[in-house]
Amino acid sequence: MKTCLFSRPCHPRIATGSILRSALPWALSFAMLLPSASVAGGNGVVDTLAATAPTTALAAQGRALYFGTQAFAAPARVAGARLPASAAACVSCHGALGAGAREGVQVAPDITQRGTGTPVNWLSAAMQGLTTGQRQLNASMPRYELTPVEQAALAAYAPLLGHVDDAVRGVTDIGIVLGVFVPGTTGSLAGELILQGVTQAFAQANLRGGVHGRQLSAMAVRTAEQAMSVFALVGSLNQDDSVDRLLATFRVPSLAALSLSRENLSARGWVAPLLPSLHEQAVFLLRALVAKSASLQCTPWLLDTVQLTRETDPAIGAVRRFTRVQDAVVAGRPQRLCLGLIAPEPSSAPLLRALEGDGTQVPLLLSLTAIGPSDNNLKSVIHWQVLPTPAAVAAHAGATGQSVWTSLGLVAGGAVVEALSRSGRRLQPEIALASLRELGGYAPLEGAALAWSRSSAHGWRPVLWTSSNHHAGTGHSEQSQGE
Amino acid sequence: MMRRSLLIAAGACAASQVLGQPNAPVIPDVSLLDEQGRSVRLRNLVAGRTVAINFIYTGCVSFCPPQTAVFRAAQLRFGELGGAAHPPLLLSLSIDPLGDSPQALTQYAARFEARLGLANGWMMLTGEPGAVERTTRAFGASSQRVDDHPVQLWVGCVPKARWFSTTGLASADDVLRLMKVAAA
Repeated sequence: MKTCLFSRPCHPRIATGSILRSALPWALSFAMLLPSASVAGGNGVVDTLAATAPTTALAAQGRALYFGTQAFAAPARVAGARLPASAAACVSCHGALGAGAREGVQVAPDITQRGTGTPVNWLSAAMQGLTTGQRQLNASMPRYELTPVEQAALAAYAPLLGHVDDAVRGVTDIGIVLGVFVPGTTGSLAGELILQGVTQAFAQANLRGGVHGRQLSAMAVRTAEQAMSVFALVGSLNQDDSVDRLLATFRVPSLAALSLSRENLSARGWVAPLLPSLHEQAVFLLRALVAKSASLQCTPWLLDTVQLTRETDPAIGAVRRFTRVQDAVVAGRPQRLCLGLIAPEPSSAPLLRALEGDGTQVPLLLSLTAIGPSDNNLKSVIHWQVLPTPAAVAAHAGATGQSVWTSLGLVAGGAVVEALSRSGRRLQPEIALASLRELGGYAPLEGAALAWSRSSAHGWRPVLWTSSNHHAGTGHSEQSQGE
Repeated sequence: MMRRSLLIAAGACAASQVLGQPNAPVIPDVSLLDEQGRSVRLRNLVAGRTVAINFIYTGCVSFCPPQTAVFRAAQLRFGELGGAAHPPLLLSLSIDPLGDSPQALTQYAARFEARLGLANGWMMLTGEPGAVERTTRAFGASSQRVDDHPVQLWVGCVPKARWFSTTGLASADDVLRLMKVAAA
């Protein structure tokens, strides 16, 4: 008998087993990690975007230097030490509107024209560390060796910073255009479904008057040129790092992305994914395996054929880890074995068959939904799965009769609406990114609270879920506790 | 006389303010995680060494990058300390243990081309929130919010129980000078 997923009345389309393969197609996303899965054609994207670079006007170059999308010709120095380019951008301390900020005892002043920001002041501060009154600035203000062109560029941009005339791509007085990647090859259906969900979220916001008086619209992005015309991407499935880097170069952030990264991303990057990385899911599985094995008094084994776990991961020493299924098949088995699987279905099958055949007691099986397997024939086993989304997302899809991809698009769109609302009317991509990462605790969907923070690049943490009969025919989930 | 000469030597710092020779902090008996995720006992780590300690978090954009750049510059000049009887060790302690995993610290260090590890004389530490809080409290660097933390550098020679602390941004010159004076 099939059991229903996620503690809710049965819906014919969400019986256990089928939903994990069809409505939560994480295995597809994992396959898209392959480098060949470029959303728009690999190097052709790079060439096309380069050809559509913003104007070469000095102000545009000054903006690029200010926001760090173009590195300074010579490294900046602070207290005599060389600062990496990633830490030398003016925006880091003075903010996307130039209004300044405070961190600890450190105060970065307002450097717009409302404050002290004249072109002369900018150059004096950056190059000599002096105010125009010849007062020495704090030692934490870097010193820049600006070329004549860089000086001219920054001087040209100074009057624009924080000004309403500082144009932002995709933003007008009455609207904001955002994009959803709908690549023409693998994953196009998922992209269309995500676009539906994002559109629903934006329609709800527009009915309430939009965001700061602007109506939101979502357009399908199929080409590089289209990507360059939007303020940001929403719910992107792009797995190609080179495309992400290039979009960052042109200050197009990927907000609430639905791609599945292998490793944790940086909380300073231009991609803010919703889903936890595969490595974070694997570590979560590992910890759960150790904890549950202790209570079940069984010996924990981990089969990790894709090598998502590392020797340095916490709790790795408490399990017996195999990276090749044949090693696990021939190893001497304990009487009671708790098994963690980070292995696609074909590579884990020999071990599962061996365990079915030799009578080893296996009270616990743990696996990643993103990789599999979704089912097994072991007797009396409780099968826990690590989900990359809160269980509420699939429950919402079941309740509304739509695809999980659409529900994910709705959630991604809802998170972006909230972030834009908190960003104010003078919108810049950096502000929207920062606002999104301050949504920790906000739930765009009931039961799907976000975990973004200044240090955590990923919007959700992994969740444990089981549909075992031990839970009387209902799904049961456990949230990660900030591990 | 010894104390006075030490203060004069230490007071040569240009950008930062040396607060003098405070009481030696009581190093808490805690286990922290290094940048590789390995558990390390803080007392064992600093025993027999001359240490410089700063307090950072990887989400910090204003003051932590300069502090880290200064540590990197100091690391490149360890040779100036000579064959120190008390080997130098830079410690960067994350004050955001919930946000900063060992992996996050490793990624952060890579931005600065920092060479981490005991053999390289620089480690970045995080750990359980309670252990981190005990450590920051011991150095007066505890705060309610991570972005409100005091900017401090502590330099001390553990065997000699001789410590200095500074506020503001110390330069690599300052760090190395204080390490020499502390170990003298």
